[in-house]
Amino acid sequence: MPAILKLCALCIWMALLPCAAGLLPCLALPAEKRTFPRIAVTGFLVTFAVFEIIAIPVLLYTKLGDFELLVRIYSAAMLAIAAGGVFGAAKSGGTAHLRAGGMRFCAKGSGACALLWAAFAVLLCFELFMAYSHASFDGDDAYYVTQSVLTYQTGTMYRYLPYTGISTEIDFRHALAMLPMWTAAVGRLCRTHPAIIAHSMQPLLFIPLADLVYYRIARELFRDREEKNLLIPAFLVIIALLQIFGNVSIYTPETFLLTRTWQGKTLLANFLIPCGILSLLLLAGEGQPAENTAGGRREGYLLALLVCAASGLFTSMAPPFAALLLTGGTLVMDVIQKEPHMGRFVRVLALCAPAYLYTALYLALR
Amino acid sequence: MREIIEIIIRYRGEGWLFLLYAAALLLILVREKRRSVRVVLGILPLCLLLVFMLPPVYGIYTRIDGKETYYRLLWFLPVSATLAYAGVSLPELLKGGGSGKRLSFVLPFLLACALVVAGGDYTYDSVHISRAENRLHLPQTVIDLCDYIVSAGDGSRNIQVAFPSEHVHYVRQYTTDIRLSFGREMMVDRWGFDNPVYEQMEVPESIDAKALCEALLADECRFVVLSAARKIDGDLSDYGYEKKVLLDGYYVYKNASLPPA
Repeated sequence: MPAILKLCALCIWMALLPCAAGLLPCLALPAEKRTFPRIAVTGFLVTFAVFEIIAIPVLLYTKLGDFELLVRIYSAAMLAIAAGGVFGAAKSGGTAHLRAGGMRFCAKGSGACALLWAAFAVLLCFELFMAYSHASFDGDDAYYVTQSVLTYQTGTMYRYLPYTGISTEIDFRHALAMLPMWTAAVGRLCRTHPAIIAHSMQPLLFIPLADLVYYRIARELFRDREEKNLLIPAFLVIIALLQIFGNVSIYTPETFLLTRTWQGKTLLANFLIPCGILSLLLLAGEGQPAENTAGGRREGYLLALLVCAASGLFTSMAPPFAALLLTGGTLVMDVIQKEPHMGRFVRVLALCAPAYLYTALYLALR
Repeated sequence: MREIIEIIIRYRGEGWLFLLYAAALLLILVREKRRSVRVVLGILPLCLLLVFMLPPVYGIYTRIDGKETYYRLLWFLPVSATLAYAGVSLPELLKGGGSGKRLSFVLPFLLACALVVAGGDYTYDSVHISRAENRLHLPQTVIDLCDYIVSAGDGSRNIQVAFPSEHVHYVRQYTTDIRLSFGREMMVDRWGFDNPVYEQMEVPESIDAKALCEALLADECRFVVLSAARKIDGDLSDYGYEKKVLLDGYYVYKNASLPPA
């Protein structure tokens, strides 16, 4: 495949379709709430959830883990979800940015706002440049990236030891977390080596995606503040600086984000858990009375469900982590805010069902 | 309990970012007026920290997933969001409400940026980060060696090769047509593996050609890669391993008598 076609395919399978997939769940929201950051974050959660839900039965019930079948079903599902989302949005008022004629970051004449956004853009571009132009050694790549390459080259899933190549039984401690298979699937769909997808392409996607979640968190944190147009970019500048200067130990989310961006645990720390925090912020909202009803909190519940449905993809412990964060968070919230009948906690307890299923499967198989 | 404290200390690492976090957390707990923010960025992290420090939780977790990953529960603490929020909301938090003026926001913001830079650790000066040699982000030497071996492997897709330890992390990230006599499992002492080929290849002094070739033959290893800088006692060709090529400072030896897998 010529390089330009590969690039187009990468844009479609790694960005365009996942974003379009976010339109379908966002149909549950009014058109003015269908903003790009909201659709994109939701879309990637949908993408990861769809892949995990398809990949687990394919791994368990097909001979040697039929990767070609997985890619066919996944690509068909993504095209259908994206098409459904685009069609549904067109029928129900479009999206906020289309209605407003594009995204606006600052009001006209706000120099300080533009300066802060420019500072954030410079920091983000620096991170992306370093991620693309510099290689980061991590021993775990010999496991995760090799699993992607093995699947890409052999069409099987988790049937060979990645370190040496000897055939083996499925290692369920790692196998249910399917991110390496998603990397291989993107590689197959774009005819690109999985090591290039993991090391060169995914950082260009996952670092902005992490920032997009923080942007949404900032929107919630500052939504009642007059000067939010300044505070949001200022918040993101500090977030970017914390990422660049966050290597205080090898364990911090920021270190993972910039040095092993393509691994599932990185997405757990920098995408899934912040999405969980965002969901809690949305559920804890104290805006208009209408927003404190079950209907007004729909977005928070939707996000909680998607976080749990996608959690299985990242690491084996991500589903119990997601369930613990969301149920524990809403329990504390309901007790402190004196929610009648513990409404949020009970609903979130039910919405965490996918995480319980992943956890039960892991405990049964490992 | 001591183990849990040690995990927190290791997680905290160097610099004062976590002291800043503790200060920001305290400020939000005491001064934040919006209840939702106080709950999510203040009270909830404290509760999660409490759960993290409970020995029974540690016991259950380590039984399921081992001790090594327990620190990941600390990822629940929204350190970045809390620091950034406190950094830009300092005038508001100190005033205890009302709208902050732009001037009063700029100085604390700049101070927060300076504290993060001074109290943090620059990620890109890590010894593990280097200029990428290609888009795969793998050493070009390994790619050259793999390409040669695959082309000389008589069409086999299961070529058994012994690579020196500095290459074993990378080889199969490039091609899984090559199988390794030993891989990353030999690089981690605590995993407790042993491997005869590894033991002979990684001896600190001169390699014993006879002992190495016996181990290679027992492993049906058709190729072996050795650094040109390594001293060898004896000649590998006496045991069937012919020197084929010198690539980027490494000799590739092939035993043509072993059939392709």
